[in-house]
Amino acid sequence: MRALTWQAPNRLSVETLPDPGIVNPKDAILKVVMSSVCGSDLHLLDGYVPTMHPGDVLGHEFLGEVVETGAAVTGLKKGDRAIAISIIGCGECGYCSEGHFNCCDNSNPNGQQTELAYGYSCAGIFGYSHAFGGYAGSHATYVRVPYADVNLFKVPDGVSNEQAVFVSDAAPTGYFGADRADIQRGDTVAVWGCGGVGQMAIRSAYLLGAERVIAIDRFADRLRLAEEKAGAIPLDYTRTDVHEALLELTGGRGPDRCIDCVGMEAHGTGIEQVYDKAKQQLRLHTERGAALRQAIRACRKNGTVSVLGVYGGLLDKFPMGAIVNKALTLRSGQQAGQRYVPRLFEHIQKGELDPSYLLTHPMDLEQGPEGYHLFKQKAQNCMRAVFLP
Amino acid sequence: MNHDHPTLVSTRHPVGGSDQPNVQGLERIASLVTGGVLLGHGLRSSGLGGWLQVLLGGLALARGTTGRCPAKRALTPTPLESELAEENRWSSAKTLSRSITIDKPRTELYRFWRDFSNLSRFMTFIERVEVLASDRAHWVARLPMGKTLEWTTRLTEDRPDELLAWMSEPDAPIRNLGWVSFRDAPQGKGTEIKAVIAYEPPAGKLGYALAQTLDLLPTMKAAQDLRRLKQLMETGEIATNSTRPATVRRPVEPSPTVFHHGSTGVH
Ligand SMILES: NC(=O)c1ccc[n+]([C@@H]2O[C@H](COP(=O)([O-])OP(=O)(O)OC[C@H]3O[C@@H](n4cnc5c(N)ncnc54)[C@H](O)[C@@H]3O)[C@@H](O)[C@H]2O)c1
Ligand SMILES: [Zn+2]
Ligand SMILES: [Zn+2]
Repeated sequence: MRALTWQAPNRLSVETLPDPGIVNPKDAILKVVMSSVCGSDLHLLDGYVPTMHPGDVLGHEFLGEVVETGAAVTGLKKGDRAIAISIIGCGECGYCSEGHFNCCDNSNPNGQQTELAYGYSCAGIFGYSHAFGGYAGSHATYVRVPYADVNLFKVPDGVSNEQAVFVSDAAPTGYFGADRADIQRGDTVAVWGCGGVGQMAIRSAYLLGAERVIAIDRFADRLRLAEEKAGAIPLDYTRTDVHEALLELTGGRGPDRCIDCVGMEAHGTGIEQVYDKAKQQLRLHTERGAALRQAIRACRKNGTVSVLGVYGGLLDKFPMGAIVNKALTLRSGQQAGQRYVPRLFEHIQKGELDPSYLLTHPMDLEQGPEGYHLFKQKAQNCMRAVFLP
Repeated sequence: MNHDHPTLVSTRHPVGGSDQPNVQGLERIASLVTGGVLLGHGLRSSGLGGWLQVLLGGLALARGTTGRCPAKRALTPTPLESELAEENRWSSAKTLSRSITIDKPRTELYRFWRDFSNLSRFMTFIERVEVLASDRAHWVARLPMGKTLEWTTRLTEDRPDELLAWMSEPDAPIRNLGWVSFRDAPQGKGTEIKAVIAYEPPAGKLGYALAQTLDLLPTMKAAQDLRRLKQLMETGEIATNSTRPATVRRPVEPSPTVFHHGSTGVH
């Protein structure tokens, strides 16, 4: 089969690899129909997530057709059109049993690395470094999906491929973040980052009862989509003082809930950016935290900060004082999409959610490196490049 | 032997032991003298070598003047290791231990472990365990470069659904013992398993120091092996990232250290 592989920081190539097969009884093999890029991949591309090996297949947001199932798979059969959740759950451990699939104890065969870094082993993720399991990703003709009954979801009628593919990652991530933010009816929610994840977080915040959502980014096209498609009040942080604007828009109270959809490669302004970038490049810290710091500072007293943006290691200049003295609640996590898929498909069927506009660049798998280039540079208004192997 | 040791495997120092002076007598004087000489010589030499001598000299002086040496402390057996060495008349003991909660009833887990031939299904370094009699088992461990290490153990305690303990027979290349306890987790959340392995590092104190410096690896291996047990018991399969069904058996890991016995001594 053909697959888009990571070779070195910012070097990708399309290679021919052996087709995957059933290894464990709960596996299924999917013939990939659509496989999207995601902001998380940029952290791998730029070399900020260690334990990538040359030849690793990228991709974790995908839709395909079931072509083979293991002996213990009961809920799927050949020919089913399905999406997979990017964070792998086993369905059996204590965490999975309680719906916290993102904290699965069993899905990572290389648990020792995250145990060393974070104190406990973390769940496996498709195409997301060896520390997170070393699973081959979905930018390929075929992909092996472990615990298929838990991680694969049949796409119901009336939901198109273009809509369904994002129920793999961007949509449940946004929904998870909004859910974790504990939004109360009438709340004002501020969302940093208007990529695929931010767009879905904005829409989800409304679905969960927010009165107003304010979206922060610097790309005009993304801010426009946040406004037109998701209904947010756009704020361009390169032109507007974000903190003051948030006060101005909320009668001085500040946003009740803040959601970080930016992550460790936040773009900053002025001296903070120079400082963060220099330290990150010297590997003195792993994160640039401009968006998260701003969110914590902007959040009203007793409010909630929900972090969806991915951070890998140690963040410098973390405003702990603001958290304590404003009695903030900090929530975070990789998405637990298995919990939300049925609900999300229902919203799509009812016309309350339509993630298909995230698909700006359908491309051939052979154009993979180019797709990532566009996505990374946010060139040609690229929101998400999606490969069609 | 008392397997419900009140002493935690993770307790590193005896009561009040972590801050007590641990360099005394001649050793302390030697530290002072060496430190002084190194420092003096280092200050007169130039380049990196000089700096290094100053650094080492300073460390030795600090060791001599305060009577405290963190490096030496880290290489001192833990209270449990001292207890085990004394009980078994070993020159020293090295322990490894991990605990894990598995969402299965105690009986099921006890029964699985009680059949020692099952152990090779999740212990990476164990090639196979042959059950010789209901209370004797023969272990074959993989070593690098196709070598193996073998020994026989006998059951020393068997409390159904609670505890299993075993001990190597006297002719074992590395004397070792182990026990595993099973306890209900709170709120019906399965079973808490605690596994402890102890072995006698072959070259006594020196072997202990060597094993200690390599400690991180076997401890992580132990954790990984118990996670594999958890995966197997909870999901019926062991997680893997391979994309093709295995055609060869699990490869021998190149690491020089072994979880279930001290291969650190077999060089
Ligand atoms: N938690 C999860 O399960 C999960 C899942 C998917 C993605 N993610 C993470 O979510 C984040 C966003 O993913 P994406 O696919 O939308 O990425 P993306 O690159 O498309 O979007 C990120 C956006 O953040 C904006 N941004 C950068 N600095 C900013 C700042 N200081 N203030 C406001 N906006 C800023 C960028 O302009 C960009 O539009 C990434 O960190 C990704 O790793 C998390
Ligand atoms: Zn993603
Ligand atoms: Zn699980």
